[in-house]
Amino acid sequence: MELNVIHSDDSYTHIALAGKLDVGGVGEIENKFLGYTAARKKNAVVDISGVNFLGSMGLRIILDAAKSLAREKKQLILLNPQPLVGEVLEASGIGEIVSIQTDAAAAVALAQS
Amino acid sequence: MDATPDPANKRAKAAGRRPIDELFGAGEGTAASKRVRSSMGRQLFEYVLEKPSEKTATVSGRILIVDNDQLSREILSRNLKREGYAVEMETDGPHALARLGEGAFDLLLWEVSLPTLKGLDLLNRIKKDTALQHIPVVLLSEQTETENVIRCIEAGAEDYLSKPFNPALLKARIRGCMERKALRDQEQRLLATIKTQQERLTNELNEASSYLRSLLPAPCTEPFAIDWRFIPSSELGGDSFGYRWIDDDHFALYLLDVCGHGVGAALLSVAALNVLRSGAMQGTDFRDPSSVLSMMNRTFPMEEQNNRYFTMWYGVYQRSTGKITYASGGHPPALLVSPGEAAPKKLAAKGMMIGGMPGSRYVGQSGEIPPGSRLFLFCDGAYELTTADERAYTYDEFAALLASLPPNIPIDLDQLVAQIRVLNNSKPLDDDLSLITIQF
Repeated sequence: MELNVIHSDDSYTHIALAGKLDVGGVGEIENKFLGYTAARKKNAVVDISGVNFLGSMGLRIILDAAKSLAREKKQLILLNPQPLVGEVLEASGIGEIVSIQTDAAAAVALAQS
Repeated sequence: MDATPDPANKRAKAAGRRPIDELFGAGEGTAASKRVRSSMGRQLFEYVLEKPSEKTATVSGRILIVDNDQLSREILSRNLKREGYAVEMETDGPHALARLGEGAFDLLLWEVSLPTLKGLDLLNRIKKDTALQHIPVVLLSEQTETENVIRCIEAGAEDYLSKPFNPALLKARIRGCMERKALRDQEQRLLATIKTQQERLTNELNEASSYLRSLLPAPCTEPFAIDWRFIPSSELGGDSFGYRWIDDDHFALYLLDVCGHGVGAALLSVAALNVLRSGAMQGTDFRDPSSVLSMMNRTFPMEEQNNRYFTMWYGVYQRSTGKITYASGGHPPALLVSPGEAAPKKLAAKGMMIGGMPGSRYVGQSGEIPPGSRLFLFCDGAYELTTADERAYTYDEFAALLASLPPNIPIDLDQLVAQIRVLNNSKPLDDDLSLITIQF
């Protein structure tokens, strides 16, 4: 599981995840992921186009981060899920608290707003 | 050279033992090095007259010396006793083996050419005996017996001592053997402790698992044929499910899947299942799926459940109308396969994972259940598989597989589970697998 930082300043954070977001994958990036999202208290774009599997523990950290940000009136924006991951997100109902975008420019604009 | 002021002799006398000189005669050689010869003239012992040595760390241990040569036995015995070991002696193989069987020895000193049981035969015997194989064997040999000793070392002997015995070497080798033995014993004790704890944990997990299973309903045939399989990926699973009549007309069916698996997931799963089984929660109509999911979401917020949420599908079949209403909290849709329908129907409903967010709304859906239909309710573990070509298997593929099962033959769930395992490239399943089928 990989986590790459694309942009991080006072206005917003943009990171990209790649790999299998199952129990093992979550274990590898959880602290870093929450550090760049929940802990920074900035709007965060998370490019998940490189995530080929999203399991229940993966949903948990996304939910954790989104809820923490929501408490600070900030939001988590997921960008470009692969079709199967998109289905998992859709089924989970997590769309209630997470914005799911398919256009990078739109996602960044949303994060900067 | 006059050896009268020999400190070893002095100490032997003080300790009430016969001095070495008295036993073997004043040996020729220097005061620093004396050689003792047996009556046959064979050199048995080369000893350095001991300086009143600094006391080394206390040693202990029980040693059995087996040698048919009396002098050799006694010299070894005296030296080893002086070092603090408890020493016993035997002269022949059969008696020595009997003695070994009687008590716990830490070390065995064995004459390699003992006529009644040669070193190699001894090793071949005790290394097969689980009660004795851990006792280190040190061979006593003449210097000419190198070949013999090598074969014994290959057969598992710990070390050897050449006659004549050099006291310093004897002391160091025996101490080394004892230390290695002590470490091995400690390792064995630790392993035994680990084994005991593992057995206790396994027993407790088995008990917990059987409790969880006791909460699951029995398969039934009336008024519908219901069967299920529940295969946790570890001893305890995070899935649970149930079905029951709420009243004469309404039949509830539900499955929940706590995120993760193992003990933590199972505890929440059982707590949630017991609420559903009780069918009693003030202000909740158990015939109304969205009301049930909202209640569960209020009751089990993840912040209060060790940050765990669960997904859940809850449906109510009404016998008088043949309709099903259902709601889902982030759970994969149940699948309805009806006779004459080209494609299976996904019983999907929107709603967030249970415990994920306070105040989430769960929208109930409804549909017809045509007679002869089959309803499949399962968790994501049933289809989140990795195929032989490293591809992620999909819900839709699984739905197609379920829809392709022959309609007129009862479903063989064991065969279906076997098929799922094959689809996962016959590797162990990563997640719990629960699957319920209802034949209407």
